[in-house]
Amino acid sequence: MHTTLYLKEIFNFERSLFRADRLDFMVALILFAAVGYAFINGQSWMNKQQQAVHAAQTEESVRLHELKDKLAGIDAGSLKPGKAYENPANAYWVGNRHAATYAISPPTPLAATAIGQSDLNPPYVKVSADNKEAFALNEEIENPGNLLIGNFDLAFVVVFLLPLLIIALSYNLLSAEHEQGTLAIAMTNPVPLWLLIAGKLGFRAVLVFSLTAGITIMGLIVIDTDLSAMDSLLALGWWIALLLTYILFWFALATAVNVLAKSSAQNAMMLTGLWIVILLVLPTFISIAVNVAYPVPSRAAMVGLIRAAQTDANKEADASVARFEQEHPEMTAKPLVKSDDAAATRKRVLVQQAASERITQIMAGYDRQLAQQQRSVDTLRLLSPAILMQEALNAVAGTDNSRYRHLSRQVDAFHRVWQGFFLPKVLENTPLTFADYQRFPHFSYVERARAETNLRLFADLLGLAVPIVLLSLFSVRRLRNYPVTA
Amino acid sequence: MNASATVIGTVARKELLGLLRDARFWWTGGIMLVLMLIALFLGRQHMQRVDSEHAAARAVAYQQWLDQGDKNPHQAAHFGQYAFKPVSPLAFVDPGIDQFVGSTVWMEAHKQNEFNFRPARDATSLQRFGELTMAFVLQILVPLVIVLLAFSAFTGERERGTLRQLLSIGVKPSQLLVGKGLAIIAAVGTLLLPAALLGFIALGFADNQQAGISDLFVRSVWLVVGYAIYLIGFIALALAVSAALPSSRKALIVLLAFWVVNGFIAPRVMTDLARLFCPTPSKVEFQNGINEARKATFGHDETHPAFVAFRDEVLKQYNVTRIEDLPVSFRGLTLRKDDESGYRIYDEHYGALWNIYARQERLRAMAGFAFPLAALRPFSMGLAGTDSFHQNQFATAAELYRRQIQTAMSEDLILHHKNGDDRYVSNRQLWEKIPALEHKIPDAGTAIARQGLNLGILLVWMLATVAFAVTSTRRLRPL
Repeated sequence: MHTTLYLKEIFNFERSLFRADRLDFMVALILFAAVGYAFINGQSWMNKQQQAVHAAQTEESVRLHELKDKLAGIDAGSLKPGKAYENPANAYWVGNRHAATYAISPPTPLAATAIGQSDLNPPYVKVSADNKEAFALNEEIENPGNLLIGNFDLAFVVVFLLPLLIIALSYNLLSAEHEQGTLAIAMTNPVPLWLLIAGKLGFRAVLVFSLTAGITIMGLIVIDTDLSAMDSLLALGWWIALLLTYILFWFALATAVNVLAKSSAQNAMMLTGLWIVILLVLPTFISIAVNVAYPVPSRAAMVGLIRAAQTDANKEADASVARFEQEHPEMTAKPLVKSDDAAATRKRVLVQQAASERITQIMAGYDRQLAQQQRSVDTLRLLSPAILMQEALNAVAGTDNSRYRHLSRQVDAFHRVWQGFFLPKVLENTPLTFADYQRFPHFSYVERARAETNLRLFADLLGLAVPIVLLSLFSVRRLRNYPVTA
Repeated sequence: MNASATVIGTVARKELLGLLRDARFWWTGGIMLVLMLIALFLGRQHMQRVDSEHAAARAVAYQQWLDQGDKNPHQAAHFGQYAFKPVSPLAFVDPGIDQFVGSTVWMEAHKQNEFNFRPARDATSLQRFGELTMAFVLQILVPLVIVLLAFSAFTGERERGTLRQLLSIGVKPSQLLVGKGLAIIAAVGTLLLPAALLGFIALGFADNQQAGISDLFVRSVWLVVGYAIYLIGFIALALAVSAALPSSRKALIVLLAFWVVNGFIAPRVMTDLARLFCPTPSKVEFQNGINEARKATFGHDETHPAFVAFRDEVLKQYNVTRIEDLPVSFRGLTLRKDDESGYRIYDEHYGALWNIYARQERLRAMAGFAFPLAALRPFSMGLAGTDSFHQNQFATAAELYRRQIQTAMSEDLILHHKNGDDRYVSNRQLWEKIPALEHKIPDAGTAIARQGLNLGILLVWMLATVAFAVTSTRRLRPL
């Protein structure tokens, strides 16, 4: 009954203490600087990526225009079609090179909050009618040193720096009172010790949480995030919920260390040690375990296998052509655009198709192995709240590996559509017409099912909540034996 | 002088004994040692695995080149070869950018490709938390151990009241500083010695195809020097802060804050700034630049003005009017001519890109004056042979090899192909004239010379911390 009253009293008292030390101001300043800088950085990264996407789209439309102009020139008779490679009516070279189109995944509303894996996985893939290996694994240019060090984004502030701030605010929660002898005086009041701790902690948690959440929302508004859409509100809701839970986890951990009744310096050391274990040691060890359990297959070997598939298909080229001509006499009998070109490009397609199945299988094998690896990380992430939080924040921002795989699957499907448009025309030796150019397939990205992401994020919240409960139980038990006097 | 040495010796002995009797030292030290041994073991294993994978792939790729069958030499140039990045024999100490740089490049006709397959892309997102490597332990964890061992060196004496006693019996603050410093150096040295020894032993078993053993030894010794400067600087800083601040608690907090900024915040902030001041172009922009420049070259376009000009020039040179009358293959000549004009373009564009990287690196290193990891990390990667410079050296070697193939193929055409003959083919004899690509990493001297600036920054920082320690102990207040 008096609990709320006491709690309010403790809150007020802590606030005055913070004021006196100008600690609240310091915390606000640090958070403002860190979150603000992270926002500027995240936003400028996003802009850079969007510029790259824009440059890609421009490049594509310029290319298409040139092709259409050329085709119009040939149709009008003012231009003589050169070699097959330069002929805009040649379905093979147009589908494989000249009209190759970009499949693009747009940024999510909260993309600027976590750069995540987006610096390794470019948001655009240049799809052509060639086999998958020719384009699917292309990478963006970047200084490897930059990739190694990583980015100062909001997720970094939350996952790495916020815990340090929490540790700095709470490592001497009880020990300082103890060391100054004020704890005994405080306990002469009719306030139970747990309430005192809850009040002190609560005040700090409210301070850190409200400042971080507030500055983040401000930041989102400043960078013009559309917060009226359902998707962005939902994402923001998840983000806030994750933030709160993660903050509570670190406060629960700090409390558990405080109730061990060691000195302030020992607490600081122990908490720093735990920070290192959770943020640095556990992730690297889990990474090692996953690599041992599911070693990444060698891409170098893959290159050799794919090349062998291509070489074999090439050696069989004449046989493929002969078989094709036997099976499709109607196509070979057709009048040709230009006989030598047609025969050569048809041969290319037949070789490509002969190698295609083997290559698809080789690459699918790699993807399976990588997916297995990722699945084991998905389970093991529960061991370290830091991994869990980082993955969850990436998922909210849409910069996680899983969204990239979602893009890759759509690219695969689109690739088949694209090949289905061009390759039959090559085999039939049908020239591309102006009308065909208007009918080129277009890629449009379909976002992941919301339920799937929600379920995963809910599991993440639970995964953070369990250690909070365990740590709190531990603290409450230990608190009974806490030596109030020295 | 002699008396002073005795005092210092006594202080150091007492301090070392205190450290050795402290359970904290054995705990943190033990964990550190275990981590280092694991890191060395895993690092070596990983290095060997990648190395053997790449060696196998290299052999397969070369065999595929030899077995490609009879074909037109220019078709063979298009078939090309793949190059696989060799692993530096010191990568087990510091794998550097290895996870973030493409491992494979296709060396084909007409164009210089970029390296593909960054291992990090095939790893899970855990990769981004960092890797347990010897470099990580030495750069991040050992400084923390130093902070924990040294933060209360002076504040603790003051808090216990022993500082007053020490000063009252005539011990000079500078003697205390040197004594304590030596003790911590000895303690940390004891921790690092086993790992360092193992590292040097492992070096003996290194695959020496890429670098001579003495070269590796020189690189390793310089690595030791660099890390020693870094860690001694940390010891001096910890002692300085401990002498300057009023309480152990404050000293610990300040030192931990420095450790966090040095290890985690400064590197990222500097990376962002580097990107801001010298932006990396996107792939599309880079390609557009090359494509634009290549418009001046004729490629396979026989209507290109440059092609026409070249044809006329060749005809004039051989004093004939028709291509059929040329004594050499015109196709071979055009291929060689076009390739040569392409080389200049690629040199220019890749040169510009690598210059951007280098400028970013230099900018990043500037933070090293305050936060030494910014200078130590590139120094360490540079000597381990796992930085951008070594990567670009290999990329250059691969490109020269590509050009060797191009030239050989075009020259075979020039000499043997008859104009107008569409059926000309060459065979294995020609393919065999191209030896497999062999790459040696640059010699130790080159690597060290390139790290001169970083080493200088580290030294300046270290001397500054020592000066800080000297001045703050001089102002030491006993109470």
